[in-house]
Amino acid sequence: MSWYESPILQPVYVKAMEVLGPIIGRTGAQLLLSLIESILIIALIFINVLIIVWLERKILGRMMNRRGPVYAGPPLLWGLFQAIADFLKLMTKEFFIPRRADRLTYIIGPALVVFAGLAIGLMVPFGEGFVGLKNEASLIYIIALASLEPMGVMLCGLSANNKFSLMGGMRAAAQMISYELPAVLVLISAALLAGSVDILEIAESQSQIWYVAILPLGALLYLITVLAELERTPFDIPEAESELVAGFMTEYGGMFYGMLMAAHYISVFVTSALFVAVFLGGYGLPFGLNAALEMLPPALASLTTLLIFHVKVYIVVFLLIWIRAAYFRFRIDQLLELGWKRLFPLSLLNLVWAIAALGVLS
Amino acid sequence: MEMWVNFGPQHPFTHGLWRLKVKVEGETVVDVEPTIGYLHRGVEKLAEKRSWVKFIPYNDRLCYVASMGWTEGYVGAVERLMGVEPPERALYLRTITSELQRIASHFVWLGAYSIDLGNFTALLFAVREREFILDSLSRLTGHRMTYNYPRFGGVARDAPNGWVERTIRYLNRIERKMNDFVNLMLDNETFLKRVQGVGILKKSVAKEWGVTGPVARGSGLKVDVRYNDPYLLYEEIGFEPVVEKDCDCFARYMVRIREIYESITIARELLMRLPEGDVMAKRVPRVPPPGEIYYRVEVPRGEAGYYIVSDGKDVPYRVKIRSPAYVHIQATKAMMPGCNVADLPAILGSLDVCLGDTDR
Amino acid sequence: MILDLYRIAEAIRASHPDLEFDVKEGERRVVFKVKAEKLHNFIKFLRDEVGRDFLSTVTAVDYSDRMEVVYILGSYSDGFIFVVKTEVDRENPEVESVVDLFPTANFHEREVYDMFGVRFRNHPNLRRLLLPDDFEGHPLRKDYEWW
Repeated sequence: MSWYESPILQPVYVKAMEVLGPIIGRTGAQLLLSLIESILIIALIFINVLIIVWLERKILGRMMNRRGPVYAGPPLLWGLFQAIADFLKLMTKEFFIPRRADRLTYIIGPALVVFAGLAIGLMVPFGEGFVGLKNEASLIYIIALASLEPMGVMLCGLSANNKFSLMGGMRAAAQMISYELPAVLVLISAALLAGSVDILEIAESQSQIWYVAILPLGALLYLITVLAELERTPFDIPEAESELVAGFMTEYGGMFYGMLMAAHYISVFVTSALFVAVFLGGYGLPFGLNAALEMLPPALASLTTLLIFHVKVYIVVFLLIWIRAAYFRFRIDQLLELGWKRLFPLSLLNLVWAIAALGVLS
Repeated sequence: MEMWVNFGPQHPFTHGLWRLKVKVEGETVVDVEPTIGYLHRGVEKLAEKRSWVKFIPYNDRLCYVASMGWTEGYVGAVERLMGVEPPERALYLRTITSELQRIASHFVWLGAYSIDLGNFTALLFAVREREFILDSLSRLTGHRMTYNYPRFGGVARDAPNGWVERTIRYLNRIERKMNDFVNLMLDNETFLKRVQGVGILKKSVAKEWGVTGPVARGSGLKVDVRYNDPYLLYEEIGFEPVVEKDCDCFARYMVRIREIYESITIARELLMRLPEGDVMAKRVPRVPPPGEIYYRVEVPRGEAGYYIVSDGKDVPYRVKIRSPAYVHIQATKAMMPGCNVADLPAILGSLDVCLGDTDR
Repeated sequence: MILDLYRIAEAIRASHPDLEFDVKEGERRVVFKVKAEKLHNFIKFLRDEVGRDFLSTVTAVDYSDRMEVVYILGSYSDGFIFVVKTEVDRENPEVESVVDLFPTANFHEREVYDMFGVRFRNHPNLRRLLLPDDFEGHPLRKDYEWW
């Protein structure tokens, strides 16, 4: 039920169980190994976050006719370690809580946001065998956790006792409610085609043709709702800099701020990964080309799927960055109007389309 | 749930150091109350302690993004008091630099406005093109921002060799490249949605609040000091102001965009016709005779007025500076109530306030 | 345009026979001196009858022996500037506010109050504008000790 099923890690797992089993008992060894596994998943996510932060700053910089970070980092990847430098700076900053803030929720808020992002990452199929937790209802689990994140954002906004934070939190709540519905409907249409609510099965059922070809409307709608749920341009309304300073993040500094920023990029990675899994065939190739992979040695094939998955994710990330460079910010009422009057009916239409497509295909 | 929210003095949307107290009900603005004075330096009092010439650099520092126009206002006013007429080449150079300054200032506004509306891209493109103007001006005057260029009866320096050709080349380039980032905004549905029909300032209301410059022209008022009360060469070149009728933020945006193109045309035409000759008048008195004058010029933000009283001594007796942004900050009271909180930056950005000259 | 100014001047002379002013050839500025108690009516007249619909600014000048409040009126349709001056008592300066005619006078008059201590009757919110509320004195008066 873990990454240890992948051809690369399985021998390691077997060996470790042989060595550790007699010493700390079978259960203890399993617990230890699953701890290591979760650390591996988090490490993978954080490496990706590092790269996404770097890519965002570099690509955005190039699109804006500037260079982005240039000093920290190895040759040819200038600025790659800028995110690490920033992280260290935020770590060493003063740890403070505003006097009038609600201390408990002030701390829980950022933690909840980070937790939600990482917990979704547990279910995402990164590659052949690289699934943290296999579950037949993983899509439901993901939908549930996706709505946990705006809850954390709202807690951040409400606890800080600042009017800008409060307005940011309120806007986040409004945005969450109006965009959760179309997102869920679109995901359901994909689940309908796959005949399963297991994200892994949805990904694997696209071995012939990706759902982006069958449900182009759904893919587009999901991309828009992803933008809204990530609170990215043009939907970065809860943290609208020019009117709300930093929205719900206004009163956060130091490591809390770092956590919120990290959570944002974790969400960018995880939601892009979800988009890939649901619409771009997950870690596989289309047109039955997966058969070609089977000719490779199992370990190599597994690594290739990991690579394919990441290439697709970075295409989606690039799209998100491009949109950020090109668009302006919506107003909150325009956002709600778009959500309820356009996206919601269209996502229903998409559902009908999916049912029709199901009839035609079968 | 009604509450007062403080926007400023330190807030990313204020474009300077001032405060807007906003009474909001949910997300709707009920009332606003602008408060200024955080950048007050007492320039008008300083003027009474500096000699006439020594006060010129202070005018550069009134508005740091449009210093040329302000210096022109003070120098022109004192020239009228002295009865000095600058030679023709100096007039040309002063008109050209005023227009170049207007282009540079509008570029800063364009970039700032795009940030206000949540996009960072247009800022960097606008600032890149502005850098060409600043380069041209620094070749002419020796400074990038505070030029201290116009003098009583002329200008400080003549144009160096090749400056005219270089500036024409820059202007051609800017005109060509501007389309890139102007279209980024004009073809952008998200931008249009934010500015069209927002911040309506009707013609009659605009008159009551005494707005000038692009804000007034965006409300359909054909008012421009260069047209109504021409100074320098504007009468000769047959200047026509840009007017838009929609009264909203988009109209003000379009006025400024069209003004950039217009200024490019004017500056290029004058550069091509730049006559030879001196750049300083032969005889310039040190001190103007007793008297008083109200002289006004069109700076990029609107009408800048100087009310100067001289008692024949070596320092000005009284200098009153009329700032356009000062009036526009007041006019927020007429435009903002009833709008959305998210519209505040859109409206304020379209006014293009500059606190250096507001607080003086 | 000069002809227009003569026509305007005639209209003013007809309705205010005791007012002294002269229109110079080629000048776009006319200076009026009115008494403080007539000021509000005169500005109303200029706005309604002569088309001075633009209040450019309000300021004051301290001449040590007397103090003048200066209203600078322009127009949105032509380029003539009317400078309306009124003399006020230096010890107890007070004039009628024109905020009811031009809302834009609000800040201008507050600034004059701030800098010169001129009080404007019927002003909705006559507080200091540029200087802090607890500032003492009125710095642009010539007798202000500024160090």
